Amino acid sequence: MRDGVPDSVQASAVVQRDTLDHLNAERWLAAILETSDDAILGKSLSGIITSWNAGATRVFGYKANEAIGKHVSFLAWPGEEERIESFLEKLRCGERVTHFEVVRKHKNGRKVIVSISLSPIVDANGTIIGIAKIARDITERKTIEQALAANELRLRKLTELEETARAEVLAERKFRELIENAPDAILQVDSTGAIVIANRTAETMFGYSREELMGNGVDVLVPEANRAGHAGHRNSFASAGVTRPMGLGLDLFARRKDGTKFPVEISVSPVPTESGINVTAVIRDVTDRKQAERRVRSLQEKYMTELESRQKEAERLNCLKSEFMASISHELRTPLHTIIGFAELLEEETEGSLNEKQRRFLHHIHGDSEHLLRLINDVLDLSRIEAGGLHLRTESLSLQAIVAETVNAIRPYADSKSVSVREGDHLDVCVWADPMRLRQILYNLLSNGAKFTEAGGEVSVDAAVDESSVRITVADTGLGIAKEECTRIFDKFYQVGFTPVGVREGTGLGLAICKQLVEMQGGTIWVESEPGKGSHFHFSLPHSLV
Amino acid sequence: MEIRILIADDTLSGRELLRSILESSGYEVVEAEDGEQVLERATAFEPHLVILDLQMPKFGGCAAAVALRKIPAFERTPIVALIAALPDGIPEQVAQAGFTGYLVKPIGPARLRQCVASLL
Repeated sequence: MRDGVPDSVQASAVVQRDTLDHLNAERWLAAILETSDDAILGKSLSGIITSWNAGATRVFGYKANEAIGKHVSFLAWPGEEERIESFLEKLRCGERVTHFEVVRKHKNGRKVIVSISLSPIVDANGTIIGIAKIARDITERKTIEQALAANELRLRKLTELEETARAEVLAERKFRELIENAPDAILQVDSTGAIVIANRTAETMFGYSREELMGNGVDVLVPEANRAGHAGHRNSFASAGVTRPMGLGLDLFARRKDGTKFPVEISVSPVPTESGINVTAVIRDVTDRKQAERRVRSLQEKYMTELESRQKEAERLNCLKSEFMASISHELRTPLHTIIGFAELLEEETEGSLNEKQRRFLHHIHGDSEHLLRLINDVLDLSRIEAGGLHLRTESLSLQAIVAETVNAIRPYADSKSVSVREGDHLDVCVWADPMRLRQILYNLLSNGAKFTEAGGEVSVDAAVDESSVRITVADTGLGIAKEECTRIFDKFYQVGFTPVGVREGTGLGLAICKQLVEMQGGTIWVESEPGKGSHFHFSLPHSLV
Repeated sequence: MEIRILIADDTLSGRELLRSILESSGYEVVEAEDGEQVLERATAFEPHLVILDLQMPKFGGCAAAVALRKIPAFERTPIVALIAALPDGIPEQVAQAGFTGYLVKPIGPARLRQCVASLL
């Protein structure tokens, strides 16, 4: 379309100019004008209507004679004047207006929506002499469009609503499933104690159907014995309004439909509603757990009983062992006592003189009996120590006095080996020890020293105060001990590998006993030695300041 | 006047050992085999010193010592206990029974003579 005129009109104008005479052309044009559905009208430059076709009558309701001569604004609603004037101004300047949608007034007072196109009419000299206006009634189209848009909007809203609703249903279903399939029974009761919510677990746990539960009093789920106080508890809980969790150690029970009782844990929380405070309860059946606990408890008790009886048995056996040891001690020492006694008596030769060979034999009997006695004593001592049957009587002791006694006791043996015994210069110190056991330790170490020292050598005892303890050293100038043997010599029945002929007379228990006795008195024992250069046995005892 | 010593031990060898040592030192010795005999022989023999083995059948050394101490004649007589071993509590037990002292076996001639001499 060009110049604001429909194509058909334009085409006919070309036909008119080229092939037909003027009259024919006007008739064509008039026919086209009259059959057009659009309103086609002419206006002066000031807006006065000059022509009006049938289409215009259909669109606006006015007949040609009612419209021609009137200002075009009579078709407009109030308030349009300014725009109409601005359009006229545009046209007067040779511009056009195309497909501008405006609302106009039908003769019957209704709104007519039209799409208008305005173009200036120019004469042969190029002067603008008028305005051609085509107005197409688009009321119906607009109404349909609006209706369609409204429908679409409604549809969209509906779809949205539907989606929201579906999502809500889904969420609701999920939530419901969650509650329904919770491992715990979930109940809500109103302020009167009537059940308002019950999940599936509640049905299976209590044996009631949901219909039986809903609206009925929660008290049927409480064992008869506890029912009396239940309402009171519930009310005071609801008014306190604080959530109470599970696992408070309360021994709670619930009742099934068949009347059986089972242990439960219950957590409760208040839920404010319009009709008062409801209470939500989560109930856990702890039958299995309680059973497991009982089983664990009974097992524990069983083990404790067994442990106790075993302890008693161990104590009894220990007692028996001590008794056995005491009796062995007596039984072994009694015959040894007479063997040694008679040997000594015979050695005195008061009952008649012995020849050299008899004297030597008797010496063997005597010596070996003494050895046997030492062995028995050591075994008994060690077994008593290990059984915890040896009780120390510790006191503040003068080390000098104890050393003097022990040196006196060892001297005959040392003399017999031509080994000298020396008491050191620093023995004037007090120690906290059991006198008998200290003597035993010193005797053991000194006799060991003398045993492994050759004629002309020396054994000595000395002491040094070392902070809170006293270090006592028994030294010899004997064979010495190899480094690798220095710790093993405190083991039971250990005897140093390089033992000269004739000195294998120890029990192998002496140092083990010394170690035990020193440790029982709160000290430690160790040895420093080098083969060929003698040994230094050190042990510590608590320093007594009394 | 000879000094009389009553010895009590349930073994023959034990009794013979004590008797031999003491007789070689010039003491007069009477033997008893158990606590009952100790009481019989003590009243008849009136010893200056009594040596009792603690472990004896019927009633032992401790019971015999207690019984002897109840007899006015033996109120001050030295009574020595012979014991095979020295478990905890023995010294107290011996003192409580009224013994003057004790000797732990084995007892050779030297120790026995020394002990007896010191008590007479």
